[in-house]
Amino acid sequence: MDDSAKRLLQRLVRRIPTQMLRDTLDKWERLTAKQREFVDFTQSKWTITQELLAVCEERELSVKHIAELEMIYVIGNPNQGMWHTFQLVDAEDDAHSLELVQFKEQFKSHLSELKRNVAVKIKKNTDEAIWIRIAWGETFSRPNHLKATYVVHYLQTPYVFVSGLLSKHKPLLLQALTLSTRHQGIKDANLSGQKLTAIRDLLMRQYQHVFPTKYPSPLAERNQSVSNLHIENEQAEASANRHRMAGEAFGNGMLPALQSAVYKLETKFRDLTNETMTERDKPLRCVVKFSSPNILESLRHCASTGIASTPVTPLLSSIPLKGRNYFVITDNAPSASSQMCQTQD
Amino acid sequence: MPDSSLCRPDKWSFQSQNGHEAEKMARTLLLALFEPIWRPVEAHYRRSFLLISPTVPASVSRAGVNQQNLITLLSFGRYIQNMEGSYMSVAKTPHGSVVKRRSKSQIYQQSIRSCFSVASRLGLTPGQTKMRLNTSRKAPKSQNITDKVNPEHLALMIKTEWQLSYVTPLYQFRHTQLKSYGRQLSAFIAAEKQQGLAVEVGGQQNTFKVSFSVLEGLAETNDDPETVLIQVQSKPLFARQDDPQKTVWSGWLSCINSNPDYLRSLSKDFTCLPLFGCKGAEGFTSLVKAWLQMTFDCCFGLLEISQTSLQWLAALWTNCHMESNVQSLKMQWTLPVVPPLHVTYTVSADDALDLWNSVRKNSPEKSKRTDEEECVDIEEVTRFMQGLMSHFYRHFRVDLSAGDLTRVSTALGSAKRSGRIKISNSRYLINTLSLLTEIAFLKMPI
Repeated sequence: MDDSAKRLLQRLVRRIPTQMLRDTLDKWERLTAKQREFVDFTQSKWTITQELLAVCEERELSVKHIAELEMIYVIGNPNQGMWHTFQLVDAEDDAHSLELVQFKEQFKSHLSELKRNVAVKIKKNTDEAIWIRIAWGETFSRPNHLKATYVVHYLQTPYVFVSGLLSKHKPLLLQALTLSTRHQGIKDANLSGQKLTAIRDLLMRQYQHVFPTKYPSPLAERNQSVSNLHIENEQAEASANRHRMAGEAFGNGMLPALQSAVYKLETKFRDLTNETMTERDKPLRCVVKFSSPNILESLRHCASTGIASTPVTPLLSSIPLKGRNYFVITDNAPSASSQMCQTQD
Repeated sequence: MPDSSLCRPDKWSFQSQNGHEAEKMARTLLLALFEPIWRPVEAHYRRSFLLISPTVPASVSRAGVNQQNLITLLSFGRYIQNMEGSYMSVAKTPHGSVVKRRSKSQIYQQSIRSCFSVASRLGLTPGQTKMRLNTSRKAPKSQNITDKVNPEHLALMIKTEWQLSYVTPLYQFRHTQLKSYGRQLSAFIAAEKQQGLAVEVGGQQNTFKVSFSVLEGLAETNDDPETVLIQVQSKPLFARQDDPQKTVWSGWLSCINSNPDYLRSLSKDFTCLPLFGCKGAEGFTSLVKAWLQMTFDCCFGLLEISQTSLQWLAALWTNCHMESNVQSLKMQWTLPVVPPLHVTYTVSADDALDLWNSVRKNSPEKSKRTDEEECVDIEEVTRFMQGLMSHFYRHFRVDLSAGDLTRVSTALGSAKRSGRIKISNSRYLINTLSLLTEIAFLKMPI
């Protein structure tokens, strides 16, 4: 085992919580049952590392195998780090018939054409997701396995999720992805977050939706003779209405846990009581960030309690509707209407 | 002269048979129970109008704690509250028997404020709530205080986040005895850290060295006592002999631009340094506070920065953009939904200043011409915040006023509702500290 393999293993053991270490090693299948028993998981991380290093040395494992172990851990714990989303556009005719083997081959060959010294590992997960681990090297240096980029893609869908990507590698990766998935272009989908599962569910619409209907509940028969309940009814109706509209905008049940949404506002200040500002030509530049453990749930609660007026503004409902959490807002026409539009950047 | 400790449940002693733990529990329980009661009791006492029969608390202190005694205490508290109520009405009659001794009557005027909460609970409107947060204040002017204040001292104050508390006036505090205070406090800390061992005051074995020093030049008026800096220094456990000591805790007591009437009304024995800021381990904070409480018979309380004060800071800092770049005005609201939603609203400083100027009653140019002192009104601050909030509502249709403004920050500094403040530019240090001094005076129970 060379130095880089040892360093990677050390770092990995430090990163994986002790209680998950055994399962992760079991899944790895590079050590025999006997060797796995040899490692005492009740000891300190340092001792475990030393024992594992000895065992791996014995098995003559290389950095490639240790990278596999890392991949197993990351696939099992996808809600770490920062995930960015890209969207493939203009699919070619044969994009829908693309298969894993073909994709694998093409991706590897395209990437190695673009950049030498790249180590790529592709693995298909049980939920049909293709996980790609890329270790980038420089022209005269070997791939750096300590800072790998992870890419997750579901074949036949337009979305690609990327984590740990340096900006200098971005064009290379995007080009390789575009070519090997048989598309003509790729763009930033303006959605990012710590939880890969939440982002994926949001984009793939894997949560409960409510669709607007004209008659939200079965029509009630009009035989209620009680008249003094009108006030109560009115309140209840308004409240029920708010709940319904909140659900329509954000969905019902559990919502994907998206942690933040950012709006860059470049719109004019308009207020009838403040002429000076309303007449000003320049827009008021500001940035608004909503953050919470689950912003969709928070916003739904805002709408149903009345803190946010209903119907929910398109700006907020765009988060689940368009699957984005970064928006730039500018005035449609600077002078005439107060209509706002979202620019695609 | 009755003993002042009788009115302070935290100072009552219990003759307990169950040892130290039981006493501690009883004390905690009592403090929690009587927090709303003993404050007015204390205020009442200081006013020394009504001589509280010293037998009541004394009997409590002599007895063990049982349910019967607690009930006695509770009724005593109510009795005092009722007296408070009846007293208030007496005070409003024009020929009320007001004690003529000046210092006492001034203290009484101030203490009325602390009874405000009691009075409002009793449905009374106090007529003399003189101290309120100012509704108008001078716009902060950039001040180059580097020639007044030692730059080293200044560097200690700025760019650090301080946790603020208020402190009641210190009894028999002398700026001339700082060295001795340092020795006493370091001995106290050493004693607390190694309980059970004998400690020599000023001895060599102290691992903690405490220094008290004066931050000269910060005081604005002649009445302001000079700011005092306290630093706890320690050597790392495995340091060599000649390694320098590291500051592990620091704090300061300050009073800037305070109410001169109040300061003059205090008797000579009291020094008023109502604003306390500290940084460092929690353990040291509580030790230092305990020592100060013990030595100068004062009490501490958390100084929360209210919404209104945060709005003031937002407006005043924005106003500073005319003189020095504040980059952006950043505000955070927390909305009471499940899970809690934080909204961070960052406005570019140029645009914020334009909005601020548009809501001002007198444009700055006008006041420059008339050469008047530029004043900022609370109404202007409110209009400014409403402008920002309505701009937000127009886009998101979310009502920010349903939540709480929890923090405000610009390049000049940041302030959090929990009472944490950071001042990043020494030019506006004095201005910010005087606003905070004012808040501390308001929070102080006497």
